[in-house]
Amino acid sequence: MRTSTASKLTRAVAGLVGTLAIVSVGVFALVRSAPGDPIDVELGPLLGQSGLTVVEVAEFRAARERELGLDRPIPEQYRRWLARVVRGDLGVSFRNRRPVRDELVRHLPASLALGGAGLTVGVGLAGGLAALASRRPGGPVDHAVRVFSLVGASLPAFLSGLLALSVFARTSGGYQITGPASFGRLWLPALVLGVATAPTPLRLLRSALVTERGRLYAVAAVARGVGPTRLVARHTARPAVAPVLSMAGITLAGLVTGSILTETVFSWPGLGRLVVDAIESQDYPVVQGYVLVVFAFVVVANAVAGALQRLVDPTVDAAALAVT
Amino acid sequence: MRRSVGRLVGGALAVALLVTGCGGSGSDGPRAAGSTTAPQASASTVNRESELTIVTFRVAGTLDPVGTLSASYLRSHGAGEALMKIAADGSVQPELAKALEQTSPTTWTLSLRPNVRFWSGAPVDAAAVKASLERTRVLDSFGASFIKDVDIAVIDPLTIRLTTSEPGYTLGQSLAFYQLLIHNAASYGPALNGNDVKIADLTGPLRPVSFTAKTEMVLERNPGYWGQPSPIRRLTVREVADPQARAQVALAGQASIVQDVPADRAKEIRNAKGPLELVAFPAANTNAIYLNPASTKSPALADVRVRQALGWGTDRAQLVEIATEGLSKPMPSWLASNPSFPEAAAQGFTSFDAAKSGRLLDEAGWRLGSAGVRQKDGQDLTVRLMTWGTEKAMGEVIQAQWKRIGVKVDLSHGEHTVISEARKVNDWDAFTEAWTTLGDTPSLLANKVGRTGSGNYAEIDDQRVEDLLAKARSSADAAERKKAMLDLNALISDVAPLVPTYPRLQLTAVAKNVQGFVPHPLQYENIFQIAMGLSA
Repeated sequence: MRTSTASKLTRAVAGLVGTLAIVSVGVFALVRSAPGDPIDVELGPLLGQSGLTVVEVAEFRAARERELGLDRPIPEQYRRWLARVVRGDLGVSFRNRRPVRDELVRHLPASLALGGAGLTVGVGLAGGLAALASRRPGGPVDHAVRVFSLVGASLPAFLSGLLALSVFARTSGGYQITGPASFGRLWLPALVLGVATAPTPLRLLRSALVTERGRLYAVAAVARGVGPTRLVARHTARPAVAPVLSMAGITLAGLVTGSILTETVFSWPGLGRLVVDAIESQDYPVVQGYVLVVFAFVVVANAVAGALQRLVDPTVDAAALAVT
Repeated sequence: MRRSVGRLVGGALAVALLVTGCGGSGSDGPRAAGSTTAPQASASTVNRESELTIVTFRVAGTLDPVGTLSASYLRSHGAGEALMKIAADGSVQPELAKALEQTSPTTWTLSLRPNVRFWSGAPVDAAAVKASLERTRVLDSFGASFIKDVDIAVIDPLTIRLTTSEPGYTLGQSLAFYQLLIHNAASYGPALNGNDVKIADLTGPLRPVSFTAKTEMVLERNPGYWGQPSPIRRLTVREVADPQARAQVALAGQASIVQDVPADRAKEIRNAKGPLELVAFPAANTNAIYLNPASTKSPALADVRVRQALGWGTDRAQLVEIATEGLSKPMPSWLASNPSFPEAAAQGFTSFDAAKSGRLLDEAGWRLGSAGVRQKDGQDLTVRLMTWGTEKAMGEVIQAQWKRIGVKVDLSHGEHTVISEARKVNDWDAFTEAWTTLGDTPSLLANKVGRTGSGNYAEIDDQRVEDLLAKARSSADAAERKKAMLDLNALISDVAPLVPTYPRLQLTAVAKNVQGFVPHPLQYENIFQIAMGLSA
């Protein structure tokens, strides 16, 4: 048994390293295959105003390429970057010369707060509405919840964000669109994210609850006089929530690292805005660092979700979950 | 419901104004393009302890003026000054300089204002100015390009002699360029160093007290400022990157000034009658469609008659009406957006002339086919037009207008880097760009059409251009220099490497209780003004 577990762990670690290697090569190649380069972006807004000649621009380009290390062959650039990453150094932003690690650390708390709050709202909505809808499948509440799910899933985040702003930020005393990250500014983007996140787990949970409700133990409980609220809370919720938990890790990772549009609309100073700026300016080190952080976050969030799933449903193979 | 009724009434009023030909801005509408004033009150009514919030699309990237995309934002928010400054009328005025006197075609004497100090208290003397310019020369290629052939010599603590390698008359304009902000080189050191307010050391009526790159900058009145003190005690500048969110800030009245409001929300903000009102002012730049005579996909563009036909076949009035909600101004020639050259408004494509456009295309052998597209040797007359940024609507209108003259436009909208990349490999027919026309005008013209100009996308190589550029730069007679520039502007319309359209729109929402806001053709570096404050 011990050998089997060790073997699984070894395979898990090897898989992780292999995936990390693939991710690192992939992101390195992808950011460099985008049209243009960081020097184009730097030249862009100033070129037509300057007195630079074609020759001087070429000289500037060559000097900047040397300075940024972009004059070297791509494989060598990759080797140098990887060597630094192994030492925990993600490099320096091309744009403002600040260490990428500092930039990520500066923006991560705001994204964690928004992602966490968005997940809380999403889970709360999904859990509550699924419980209500499953009480009487096909009933008016179930239909209403289905409509909510459809609207929530089909409304683009930027549109729901702008709609929310137009409703809650209509006056100077309303929701404050600008300013540093704070609790007073957190609730509205969290609500928008939560509404956008809720539909998928809501539908999964509702289906699972309906299925569990039809099982013998649930029918017996009802026959014993257990009321609908107690039935969900004490009997059907636990087995129904296990499959939903498996996607919670990915969802949280997506919320923390991928709520780019929401962060932009609400001027929320998180990782999303950082990476949008970095992509626009082709700031390779920041984009590469961001992708690595996303990858790490997905791995950690999945591991945590797996552990939670194991707690809820001990029959799940813990080792297998740890790998995923 | 009340809001809907208000919108209906507002819409009906707008229609009525258009129908009766009284399309000028009403009392609650955006001020018309070309207006130069905002609500003003006498200085005595301004609160001397004003606290303002400006929402902008971008806060400075660093507090070091040699950093990328930093200097213009610092100057724009009262936290940086150069030796000279371009005023709203296009004239060049001394800023940190007291005077700039040309003593020979290649020599200038610059006198500094006495008793000027950096925020740290260090004196802004001739040595400090030289050190600042030399640091810019080393660390900032763009700033350096404006002083590349200039020798800087300290004569005494308040006097500098500037010597150019060639005769020239535009050093004042060059020294006004925002990348040449005078900073304390000793404080910043030899490398880019601009994220710490304790290191940042410039001049200006305000000074930053806290700074988060691309998020927020808080400034307070600089007690040691050499000039008239600002009524503003505290200014908070916040970045809101999304244009629709900026429009919502304006609608909600959550800022004193909102910069770069999107044109498609102008009517809504006007009709909302909120605490902010719109100031519409065209920038000193000419949005133009650059054409590629060397295009392999659209060889028709090699024929100057085809390029001219596109110029005459562009209905600028309609373009302005649709793409900018009527808030910008048609520009018939490239230089027409420069307030120092009003004569340029009578040059170039001064009218929409579809008939002339058709004649030129006929002469070039492009005959109208049955499908409404002109053809020659079995080939359709097709132009691939790339737009970016705020020019999406402009591209769509151009597509419709050129279709009417028989030109098929394949339109694509994307990032500017896509255009740069296409240009590198000569895989382009036409794209939009809007470069400033105000500054060192001969250099700007050389950049666009000079043989070695980095913005000469059409690779114009014309001796007439070079001769006029030489005259514009070095003629001893000011009138002759101006005539050369205007002649060159006319020549650009004849050679037609670009189709001028209109200046980009600067749409700023300003709270009604803000006094002293003055629209500027270079608004991006002139949001803050010294008399600006809140009503008492």
